[in-house]
Amino acid sequence: MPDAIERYEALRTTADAEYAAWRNPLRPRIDVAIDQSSISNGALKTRAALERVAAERNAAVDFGRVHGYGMQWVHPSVQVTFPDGATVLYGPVREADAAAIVDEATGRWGAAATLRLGTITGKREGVPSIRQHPFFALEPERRLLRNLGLTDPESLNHYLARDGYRASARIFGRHVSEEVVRNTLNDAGLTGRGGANFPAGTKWGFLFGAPGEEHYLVCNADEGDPGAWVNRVVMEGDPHLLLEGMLIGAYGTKSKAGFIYLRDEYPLAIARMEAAIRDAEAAGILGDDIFGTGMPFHLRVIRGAGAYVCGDETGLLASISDERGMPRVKPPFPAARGALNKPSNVNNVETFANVPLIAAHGSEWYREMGTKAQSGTKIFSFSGDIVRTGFMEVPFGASLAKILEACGGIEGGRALHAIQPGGPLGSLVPASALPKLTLEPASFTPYDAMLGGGGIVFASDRNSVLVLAEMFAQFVEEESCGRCTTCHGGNQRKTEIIRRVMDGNGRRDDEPNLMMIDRTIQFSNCAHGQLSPKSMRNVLQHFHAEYEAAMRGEDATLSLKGATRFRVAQPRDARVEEAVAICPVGAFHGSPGARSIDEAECIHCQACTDVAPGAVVREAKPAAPRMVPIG
Amino acid sequence: MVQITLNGQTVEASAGRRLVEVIKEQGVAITNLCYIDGLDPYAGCRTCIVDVVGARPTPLQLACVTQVADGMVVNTETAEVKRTRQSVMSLILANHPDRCLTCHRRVHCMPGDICLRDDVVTHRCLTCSKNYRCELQTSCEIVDQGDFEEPWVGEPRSYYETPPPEPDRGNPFLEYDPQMCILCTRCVRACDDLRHTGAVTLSGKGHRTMIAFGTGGSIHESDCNFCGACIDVCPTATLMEKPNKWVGRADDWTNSACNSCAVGCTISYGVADDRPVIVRPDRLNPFSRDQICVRGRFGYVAVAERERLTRSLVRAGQRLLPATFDQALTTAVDALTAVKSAHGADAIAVLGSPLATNEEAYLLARLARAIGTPHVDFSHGMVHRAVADAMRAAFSTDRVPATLTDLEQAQTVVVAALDVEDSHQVVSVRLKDAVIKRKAQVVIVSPKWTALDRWAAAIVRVAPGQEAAALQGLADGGSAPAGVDAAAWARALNVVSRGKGASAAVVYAPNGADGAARAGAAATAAANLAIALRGAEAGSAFHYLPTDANVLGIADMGIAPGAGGKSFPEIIEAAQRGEVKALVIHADNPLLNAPGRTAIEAALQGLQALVVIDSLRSTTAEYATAVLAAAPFFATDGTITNADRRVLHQRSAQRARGQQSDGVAILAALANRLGDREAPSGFTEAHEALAAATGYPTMAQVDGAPAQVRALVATSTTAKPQPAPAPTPAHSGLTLATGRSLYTSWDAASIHSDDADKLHREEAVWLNPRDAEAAGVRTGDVVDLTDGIASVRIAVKLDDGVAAGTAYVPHYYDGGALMALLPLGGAGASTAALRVRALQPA
Repeated sequence: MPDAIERYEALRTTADAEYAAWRNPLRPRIDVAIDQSSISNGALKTRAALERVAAERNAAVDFGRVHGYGMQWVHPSVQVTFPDGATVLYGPVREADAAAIVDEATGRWGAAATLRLGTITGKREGVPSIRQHPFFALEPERRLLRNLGLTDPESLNHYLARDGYRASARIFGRHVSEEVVRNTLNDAGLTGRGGANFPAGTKWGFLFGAPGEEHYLVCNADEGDPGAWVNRVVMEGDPHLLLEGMLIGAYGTKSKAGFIYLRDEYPLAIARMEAAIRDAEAAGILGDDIFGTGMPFHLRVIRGAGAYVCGDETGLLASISDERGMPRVKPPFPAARGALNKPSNVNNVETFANVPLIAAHGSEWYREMGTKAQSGTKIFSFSGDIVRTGFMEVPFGASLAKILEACGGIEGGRALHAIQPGGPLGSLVPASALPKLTLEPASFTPYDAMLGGGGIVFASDRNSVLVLAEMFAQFVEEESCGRCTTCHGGNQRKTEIIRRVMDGNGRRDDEPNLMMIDRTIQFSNCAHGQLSPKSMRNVLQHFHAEYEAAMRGEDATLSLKGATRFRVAQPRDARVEEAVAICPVGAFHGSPGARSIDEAECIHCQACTDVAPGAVVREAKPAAPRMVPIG
Repeated sequence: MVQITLNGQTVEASAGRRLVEVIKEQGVAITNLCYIDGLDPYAGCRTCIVDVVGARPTPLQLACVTQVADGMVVNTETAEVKRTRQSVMSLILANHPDRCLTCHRRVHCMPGDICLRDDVVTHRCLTCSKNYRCELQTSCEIVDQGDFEEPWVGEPRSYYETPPPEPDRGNPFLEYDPQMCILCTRCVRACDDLRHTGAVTLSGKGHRTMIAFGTGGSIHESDCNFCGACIDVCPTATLMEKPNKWVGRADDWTNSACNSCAVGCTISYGVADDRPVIVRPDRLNPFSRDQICVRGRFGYVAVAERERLTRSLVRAGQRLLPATFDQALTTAVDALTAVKSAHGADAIAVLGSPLATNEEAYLLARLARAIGTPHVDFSHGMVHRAVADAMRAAFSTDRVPATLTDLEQAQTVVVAALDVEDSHQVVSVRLKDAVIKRKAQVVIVSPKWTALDRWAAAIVRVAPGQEAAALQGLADGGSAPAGVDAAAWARALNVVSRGKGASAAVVYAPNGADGAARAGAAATAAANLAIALRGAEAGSAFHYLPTDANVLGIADMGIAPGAGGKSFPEIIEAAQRGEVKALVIHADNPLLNAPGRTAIEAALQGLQALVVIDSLRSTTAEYATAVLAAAPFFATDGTITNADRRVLHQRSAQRARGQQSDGVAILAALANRLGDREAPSGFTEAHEALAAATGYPTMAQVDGAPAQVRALVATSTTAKPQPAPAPTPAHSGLTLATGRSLYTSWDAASIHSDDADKLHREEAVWLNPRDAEAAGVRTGDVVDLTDGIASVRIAVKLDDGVAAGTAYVPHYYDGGALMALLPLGGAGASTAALRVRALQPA
């Protein structure tokens, strides 16, 4: 029987040849970045335009696909790889720019000079390396993202050629024991990347020691926080990295089957993961006989049906087990009763993605990055009112102020108002904390805040934290599974109070009542309930002046929907028509010259006051009659 | 056992038990609105918070999730516990009409009073059907919710942003008002985990979370079988019995037993204003425990009170006219005496009823002796005796020691019954329990789909009449009987062969309409199978489930032909010949129960005297010379003997109305006037007499250990396999399968009420789609089901739950109209080919 490593080397031979041909193509190749974010920004249209232009001109170019490099404010992006192996990144490439790109690729160097962002690899006269771009100032090295831009994410061979699966072949060839695999993870200091930060190797040990043969390894890919797309980048950009992580996990936990619970809102990630599983099975890397060792591991993608609470590990396990997607009562814990009521272990996508790297390079290499308390790197996605939206992989402990710099600061030169890490169950941290914040969990603790799963949203001073808190309150209320009266009842009441305060009808006892709800919701079964009051608590802790202003019915700078309204002050101003055109909800009524705004439809986005300041104004609403409680 | 300290008291409890159960057992009041004893905690209401000293991360822990451990110190009444419970409760109340729950005046208010707090009438507890029997109300009292300032009163509710869901009042049994719901989901778990029906679900999320039936439609269209387990656990007025919903607050409770099948579930009647208004399961019967079925829960209201006889009737020409009891008694006695003096006692026959009590049956037997006739039987007597004969042959006794509670331990169970879910539902529930909790293997031998099929390891779908062949085949490991699917047969054989040993059992439930020959053959084969499975211990593994409640009891009391006596079909034939000229019928309706309806009608018509003792003016009573008005079953004291031979005390839950008399008193009076001067006229005396005569336990024994005392159980059995029963020849045309349906009330069917099946769910003939296609009919078509002579008009339901060649009709359809298609000897004796005749569209 050939050794697992021999099998691997056999796979490598073809993979290397294919990858070399891809890296150094005979004629230039245009790779359009195809990922969910690029598609949303028109990447498919761009690709169609490029192909059309190339066909019309009978241009000597090929087409391929990559994943976006992380600079999502310049999507759709395109890479051109020249026969000498140099790869140049361009963006944003709209349909109209197709000709320029094709020209540049086919020899008219300079045709798309204005679109150039930098070289990803190789050298080109006058083009800086992309690594010198200020956005990547805090990325010393790409580890989890090392294949982005350098491989076709849908190719197993590319992953293999970049040394992928080497570590797992070594492990499955029984050159490493299960215990050593787990201990290496703990030595490296790998903790759960979903936000809970539990040591991964220890967690695997629970499942390894669980009774019975039927163990399930589950990947939580139900990334539901608005502003977080860390897992999506891994699954769309390097699906085999996740597969290899799970494969090693299967070895370390004695699991013969596993599930990837993937939210249905990630169609491309589902397609790429399913294709990757098929390819890996065909190559003998997954399935009944991994690397010829006779060890089985079967993986299946389960599509989530849109319930936010299925991102909780027991909610996810209930959903996989054909039950209503509700977090379960613990104990029993997943290692005793998980998927299909069998011992299971759930890890986040990014947690698994770290595993092959640690297995290949060892724990010391891993600890080179990060801080003492939290080693390694982590992918973060940054969004909100910043100039440069995108994702990057930074070592734990990076300064958040520098991150904001790398992101180009706040849009329109405005001031930062609040930092929102961790989604709707996360926190609202005041701008004043920025200098002290670093990207590691402990740094957020003094602000009663959590770092969360990797999504960080910057809010400018155009935003009211109350509006954010109301949005989150409504979201967590609607997503409550309905088990705990504290959670579904408490969040309804909380949302009502916040709405009333925003409508200028706040009462003196609202604050103590919010605090009481907060205390009571702590008696909920899962993190969804327990964390749900956090954002409003943060408002009362860190933004109390704003809350008081709302209570007084005053609106200094903030868009309180109940307390203020937008009004056309100068209907004859020509800019009003610009405002009408830009209004996303069509709240303007009447004919040109006699426009008015329907208050019920207006969402207070301020687009109109941006394009027509003075002509459209925001003003305080006439005071609503105060309700006097009876009884 | 471990020791914990509960509010300063040392308490013993077994390790690992849920703290909330231990607290409740100690009599400490604790709010727990979502917990169901014995099931895994749902931990949804969060109201059972207690202080567990030293617990982390906080000492405030849920008593339902916490398991007791040695040395645990628990306080349930600290100020913090109370305040926290109040704040949780306030969030529950915020979505429930609540002002009365926290009002200090609630004890003073009367319906119709003007609310000083101006609460809306429809939101008052006083106008709620659950008032004073509401767990939410009690819970508010436990935590002194009135002391807690409820901050949410009068707020606009996001809950009401969506229109309030409509209540479902569209069925005769169960009302569902989602506005009252606090989402404790006890109903969901009762339906799933206690009943395995799964008709109730939790739907939606956030403020749109609500309880739904099936996929969210009406209850009537869901899988709900109206057992009411959800009503039992509902802490609010969300799920309520429709009958007596507004008067269901009982003044008193009467322990009794259900008489709608041989399981004999113990039930409690809630009594108000001298009538039962509500039924709850009574946990005394160790097999039924907390479960009953739709018939047990709603049997007492199956027939409107005005339908019950309150005066006796006497024939005057073509009519039956009301008469005093003495007039009717005199008429009856005179008519019987006339027949006896003219034609001898041999011309009189007596028919009893398996719905009667042992005391009534005992007196009926004495009445027969007083008359001097050996012709005593009941409609299904032949079927019962055929089964008993088969059991005696195999086990040397028909009073085998097998008890249904053993079924819950059995690993392999073969169920030979048309539809055990319909006929003996609690048996079906326990079998599902066994499958789910212990992975028991169930094999079903039946001509028809049943709700138990989903849990069966193998289903042998036989043609009606081939049950014996199939059971014998399973015993012998033989080849598949004609028409049985080969793969299913192989599965069944496999289960049986693997299941041989200490924990295998056979359940056999005959149908009255089958007739003696078919029932006897099937019983012999079933006994052979039990012997194949359990060898010498087969007598402890053979569970005979008669259809009706007290078949075993009345047989013990002597309701069977005496020496030279005629059986039921012989009595009817003799009456047709004019040899039997008078009949005394107690609480039976042969026109509903017995096959051969045409012959029975002719026999009843030709009688000189027909004395009927019944609580209803049944279709048979229409032929009577005199009808003596008896009290209904829920107003009758007595004992019944269930399939386990447990003697159950059926207690009266109301006094006799009008001139109704106790069955025992009527029969005693008759016997007395006909010569038995010693006949005991009261229930207690009657029981004393029958205990002395038959060896039955005394009432002191029966009441001393309710539902535990078994009568006349054989101490030893043998196991002698009997020769395989002769194969039943197949015949052309459709073969009829019929049996007890779940929703039909015997009482209502007996008076041929249109509402005998209040749901009208099962009033159809099931035809295999192939047969339907051949006959050119579709679901909903009305057809005549005919043997060429008689016919039954009925709607068609296409259902591949019956094999091709089989037609299933519920026995009680149209007051037993189907019985006209069968000969006196039952379906087993039928040779006529049934056809479906489509009617021209009107």
